[in-house]
Amino acid sequence: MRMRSWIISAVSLFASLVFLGEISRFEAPDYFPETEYDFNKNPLTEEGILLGRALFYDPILSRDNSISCASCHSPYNAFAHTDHDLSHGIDDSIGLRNAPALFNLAWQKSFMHDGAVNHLDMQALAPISEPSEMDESIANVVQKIKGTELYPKLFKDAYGDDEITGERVLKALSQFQLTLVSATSKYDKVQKGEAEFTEQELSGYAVFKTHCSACHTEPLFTNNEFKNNGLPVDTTLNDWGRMRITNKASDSLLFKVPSLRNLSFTYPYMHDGRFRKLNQVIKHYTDNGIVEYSNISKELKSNIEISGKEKVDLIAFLLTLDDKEFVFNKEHHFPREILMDK
Amino acid sequence: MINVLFFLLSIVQYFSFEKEKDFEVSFIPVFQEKSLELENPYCNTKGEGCINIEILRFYISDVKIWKEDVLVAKDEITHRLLDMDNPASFNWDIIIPKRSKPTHLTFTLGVDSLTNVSGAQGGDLDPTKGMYWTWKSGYVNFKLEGKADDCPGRKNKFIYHLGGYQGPNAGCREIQLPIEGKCKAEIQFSLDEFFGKVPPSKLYHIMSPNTVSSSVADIVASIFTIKE
Ligand code: HEC
Ligand code: HEC
Repeated sequence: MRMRSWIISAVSLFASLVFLGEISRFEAPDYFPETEYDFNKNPLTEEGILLGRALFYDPILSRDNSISCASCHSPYNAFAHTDHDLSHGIDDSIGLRNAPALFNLAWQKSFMHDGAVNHLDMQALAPISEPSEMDESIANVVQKIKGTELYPKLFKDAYGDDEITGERVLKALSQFQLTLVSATSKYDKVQKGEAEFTEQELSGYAVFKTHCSACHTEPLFTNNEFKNNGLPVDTTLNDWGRMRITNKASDSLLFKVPSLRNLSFTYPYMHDGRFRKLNQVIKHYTDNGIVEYSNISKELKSNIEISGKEKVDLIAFLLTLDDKEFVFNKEHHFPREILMDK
Repeated sequence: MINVLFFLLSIVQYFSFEKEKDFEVSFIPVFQEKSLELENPYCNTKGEGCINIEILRFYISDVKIWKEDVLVAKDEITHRLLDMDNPASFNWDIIIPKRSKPTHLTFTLGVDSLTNVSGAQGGDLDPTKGMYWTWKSGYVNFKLEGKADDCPGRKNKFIYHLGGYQGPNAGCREIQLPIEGKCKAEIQFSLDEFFGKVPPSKLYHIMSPNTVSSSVADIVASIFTIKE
């Protein structure tokens, strides 16, 4: 009898280990919607995730081996680029836009502030080839990676053989980025019944539901759509947002609605990083900051009028979306164990 | 004795086992009545200068062989990149039932929209093949680059990148060609005709999906013909 239960537990331990190998690193709470990413086409494995993580932190992806994805997407900033309004890349060139935070990408329908990229896998091609970013080509990256000691082994671990292709590089990068799930903020703990909002946070939550959640929809805090939120055009950039992609006048100044998770880590805000502080953002929405464009979203047509106290409460609520466990999760950080002695 | 046996066997095999045969498909870019060569000056007899082609590369997808409206066979590889730098990519076989009498063949010039939104893919669709737009997602369906003496572009260069998978300017084109009574399909693509309709002296730079690229895609689709 004893023997048998021992065997059963050994078998189930083994089975769970096998499963661990597959997708244990991708966990989402039950109040999250279905993912957009099709994991059947790129099943997560420990080895695939590790390979992607190494690639993400490795400057080998840029022309002169100086810039990695993490140069602009820092783990300590929820994978955004703080302190810089516009991201900067190779030879200190300045990009057009602020580097967005990277998390909960599995639920995203399109990528970039204007939705230029239609799939997470294809995203990395943009910075790799962009002259002001990494200024390299995927074909050359594949050649460079083939010539290293490290990568053929990592590809073999991840894919069963050491063939290195563009598809495999991109899918590995996706694997790592898909594990960047932010679902352990105070807000999430409240959802899971593990914590309670303070009175101030509750009041802020109410303001949020009235004025913000149509676009910044729970639990991801984005509705994945493109909207005009009334920012005046920065004439030094003349960035027309979504219209650059669709050539439709009605898409002028539409930008992707960003998540509001981890705001304490992801400043500055908006596509061009124009606001450094949250209260500047709140000011934009409430103190006649909104420009009345003809395609302004209907939610923002009439002024949002809230009291000084409500503004403070709103910010208190927004701060409950900070996810320190996510930001300080070592499993997402620089993979010392493999990139250090390179 | 053994010979006779083999002979009989092969007759039996011919009638009973061999139910399939290869149908050869080849694409033949032609310029000035000859098969196209890269980096070769094609000069105009009227003295209007020469054209040099450096890159010709395009996707042919979903090749299907039909008898009237019944599907006879389809290419086992859905997306093929035909690249002048890799001449072997211009010929392949499709297995068809031995006694079928196909009437026409259909294919797509370019990559369909579903494939365009399905993430990273391998084989001829691998982005290292240089046929993926990076600043805005999507495959380039057709690339033709070179130099023409009368082209006003920088260093006399013309660049045609046709693509796009969304909306009215999507770049994919369905093409149908007759193959009745033929045992293979030799599909010609006449560059004389192309440059007659798209002169590099007037139009030399197409790099993104728009109404111009869409009408050039129509032109490209119209100049595939079956060799007589
Ligand atoms: C030079 C800075 C820079 C580098 C290097 C860089 N990025 Fe980015 N990243 C950006 C900027 C800026 C944007 C937004 C661009 C836009 O909207 O046009 C962005 C957008 C993204 C997005 C889309 C996020 C969203 O929410 O839409 C992802 C994913 C991403 N980058 C991943 C990567 C990966 C993977 C690498 C390495 C291969 C990388 N980035 C390298 C600056 C950079
Ligand atoms: C009509 C839709 C809409 C509504 C309503 C809305 N926003 Fe936004 N919000 C956006 C869009 C679009 C952006 C991105 C604009 C850009 O990138 O330039 C944005 C950006 C932000 C940002 C910057 C995030 C970042 O990472 O850069 C914050 C913070 C923000 N909104 C907070 C709020 C608050 C608080 C409210 C309610 C008072 C609110 N929003 C209401 C559409 C909306």
